[in-house]
Amino acid sequence: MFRVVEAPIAVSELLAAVSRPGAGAVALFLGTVRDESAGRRVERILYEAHAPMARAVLERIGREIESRWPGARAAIVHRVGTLALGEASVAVAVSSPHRAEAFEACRHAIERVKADAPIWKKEYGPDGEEWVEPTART
Amino acid sequence: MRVRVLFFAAMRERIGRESETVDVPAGATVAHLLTALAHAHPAVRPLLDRSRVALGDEFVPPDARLSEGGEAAVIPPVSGGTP
Repeated sequence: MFRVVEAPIAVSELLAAVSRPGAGAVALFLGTVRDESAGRRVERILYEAHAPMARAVLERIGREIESRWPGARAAIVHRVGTLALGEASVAVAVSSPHRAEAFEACRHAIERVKADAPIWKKEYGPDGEEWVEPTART
Repeated sequence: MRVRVLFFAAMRERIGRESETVDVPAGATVAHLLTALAHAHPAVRPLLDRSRVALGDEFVPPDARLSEGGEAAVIPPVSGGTP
């Protein structure tokens, strides 16, 4: 399951997508909207994607996970639109025979998503609004 | 030849539209396109310099060739950042 969605992320759908009899572990990562960024207060975040390409990039990352960690299965969903504090903007689920690989592959997947998925975020706070670039902490 | 260019996020806001059609010479590359865009929109030149270009679903290098009627997406830096 590799999707760019507007509705809240349904975590149970990712877990179902990676569920398999040979899996002894499932690692789930959620990226959530935080109330602070580089010392500024954040009240909400707008996520924008080049959706068709983003979907393709998520799928490519998933395939990469599944070939690098044999027996692993991945699902990645990214949300777009305006999100409130605490809401999940991205979810990565990886199942694998053992937990070490599940954690490792899940970490790898989210770093790849952050680096390569054409998805941008604009933070809104009392001090104004700003598109975030990689130099800033996220 | 004509190429449709897509803009996103900060680039879209600063240029003021989601896409535009750019005329480039036959056989032009992504590098040619970026030069044309920088000329047409000097205010976004620094952001263009930090951007990548995608054809279809793939990031491509500056020497990739454009095709007539094709679509190119300008991908400004993504939010990535520190883990």
